Amino acid sequence: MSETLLEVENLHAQFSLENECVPAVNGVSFSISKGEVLGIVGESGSGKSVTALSLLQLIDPPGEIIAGKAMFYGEDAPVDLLQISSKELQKIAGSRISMIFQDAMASLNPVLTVGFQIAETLRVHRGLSRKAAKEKTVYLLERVGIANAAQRSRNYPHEFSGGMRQRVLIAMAIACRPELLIADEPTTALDVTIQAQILHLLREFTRDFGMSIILISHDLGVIAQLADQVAVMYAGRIVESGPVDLIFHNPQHPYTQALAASIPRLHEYPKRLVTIDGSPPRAGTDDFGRCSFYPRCSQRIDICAEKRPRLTQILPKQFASCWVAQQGAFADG
Amino acid sequence: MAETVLEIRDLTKSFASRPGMLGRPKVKNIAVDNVSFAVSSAETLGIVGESGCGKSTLALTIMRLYEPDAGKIYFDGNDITRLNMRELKPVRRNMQLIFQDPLAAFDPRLRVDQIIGEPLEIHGVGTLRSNRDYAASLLRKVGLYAEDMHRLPSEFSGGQQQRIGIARALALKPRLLICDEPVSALDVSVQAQILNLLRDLQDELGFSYIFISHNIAITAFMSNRIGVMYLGKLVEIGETESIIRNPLHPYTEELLAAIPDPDPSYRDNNICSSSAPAELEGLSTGCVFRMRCPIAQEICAAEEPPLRTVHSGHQTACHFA
Repeated sequence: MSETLLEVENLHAQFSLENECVPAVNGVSFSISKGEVLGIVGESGSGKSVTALSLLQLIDPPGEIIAGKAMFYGEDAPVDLLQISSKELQKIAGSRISMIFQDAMASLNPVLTVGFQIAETLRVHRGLSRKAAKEKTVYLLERVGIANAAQRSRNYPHEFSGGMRQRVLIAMAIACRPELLIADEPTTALDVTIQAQILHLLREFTRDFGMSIILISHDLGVIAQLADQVAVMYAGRIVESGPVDLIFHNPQHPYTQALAASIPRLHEYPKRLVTIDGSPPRAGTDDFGRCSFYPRCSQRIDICAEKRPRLTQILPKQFASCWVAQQGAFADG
Repeated sequence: MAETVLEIRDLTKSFASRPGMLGRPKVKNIAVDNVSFAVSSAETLGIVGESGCGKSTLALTIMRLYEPDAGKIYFDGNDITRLNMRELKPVRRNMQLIFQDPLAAFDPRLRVDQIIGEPLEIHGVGTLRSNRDYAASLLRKVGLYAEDMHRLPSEFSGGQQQRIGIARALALKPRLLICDEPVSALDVSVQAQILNLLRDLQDELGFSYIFISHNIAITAFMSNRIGVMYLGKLVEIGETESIIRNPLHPYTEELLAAIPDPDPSYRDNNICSSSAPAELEGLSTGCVFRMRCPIAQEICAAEEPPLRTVHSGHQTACHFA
């Protein structure tokens, strides 16, 4: 069995507004092994980004983490990422754990050259000299597929295209050979051909450096292409999790099933698509006494309106929070 | 043979970038470059391409919201390329647009019945009272409730807002609906509802669509035929199945291969082209795709391949197809 790198337990996060508390993440638990890609898939408002941001204590007030544990078993002594001081976190963030976002332009400083920004990471975390950092920067830019790297390192972010900027961000993120990369919709703003290149690059890094990735996306295609394990989020909870082939070929939760069936595929020409009625619940409007997917579920039974199902093992390695799936599993023995 | 609703011939639209501070010469950016196609009644023509390929400019130029530089636009057989605003008004009734972000396309202070009623009012159709009943029937048609009429667009979810946008576009019973990325801003679970609705409405009402999207799988679901654009040019056009199963242009092949398949069994199938989309500058001759093309030869730099018919109904602009 592979070694665990990160173990998140019962994470709760909420946004405290003037007269109400809006829960965003309601008891999320997952773990990720070394060298593994965990895909977190969900629609807008499902809590996937808040989950990711929480891991580096990056949610700003009025958002707050109200409970949970995130044990990081890196090369150094195990730490709880949610508890450590900001000073300790600074040592880990950008070095052992790094993060990339959807909007690369917003993540880069517009008035500094990209070379300077990558070198800065190396000098702060690795204590490299100016010269050594510069050399390493050129190597990293080459590694992520930027031509004329030495020359390009002297360019400013606006002088790069969207795909190239995302590559710069990846170069910066992998500069210190992190053990974990958190990638929040890393290819959503990019064209499909550029997306394919970036996914290819990320796959290479897991293979070559044994880096683990938490990949957050709303796109089932992206998840299917890169993830080893998948967690499906809905209304702030994980509703199904398991190895990628089981999630896609034998989904147990009605939401996962319907979501996978509702996207048009290239070589199939159905007259109509399978749909899910209604729309995802807005954060804070969820009724806690029942399954959050109840109003939209085509397979719902009486108990779904009365009691919220817990994430339960349905098949070996596969978990789902659904009464219907549970009944099926236990009926089969 | 079905009758042709819209035909464009050699349509071209360019934008001049502002001269630089140091008196750099004006650069002409050609957004739509000599594009020709026709759309029959009750047909859906899909247009796919990456950002910056000119697909949205194409939509706005067809609607005459941009003035074309050159080329012709025929609607119902009539040349509308140079009609003035007054002459254009009755034509516009028959062509409507559905946008990516419906909320940005509505006046936030208007109620739903006013939003749907506005095009009727502008074109002097019906009375206030009859239009209200009509708006209610349109709302029901797109899957909303008549009671929703008195609410503001911001009170609806993204999918419902797009339904309102569709109701407004249908109000004047157009013959052609141009949809510019109509589901790109919607949640995955809501996209399928809107796509089904668009198809049902066409079956019922028999109008034509130009369906613009960067997502070729969604376009394929919606369209009878697909046109592929690259840097302002139509590089391939044909029946949907023919394009998907037997792409003739290397760019179409690349586009198809790049789509992440929502099935983990087909990993690593996607090819990666080595370079990003080329800049147009310095590409005054030859094929626009040659800088990225895996099979480019000398002829591609020297001669621009014309769009030619390779087999029945399937055209491509590649020397080697």
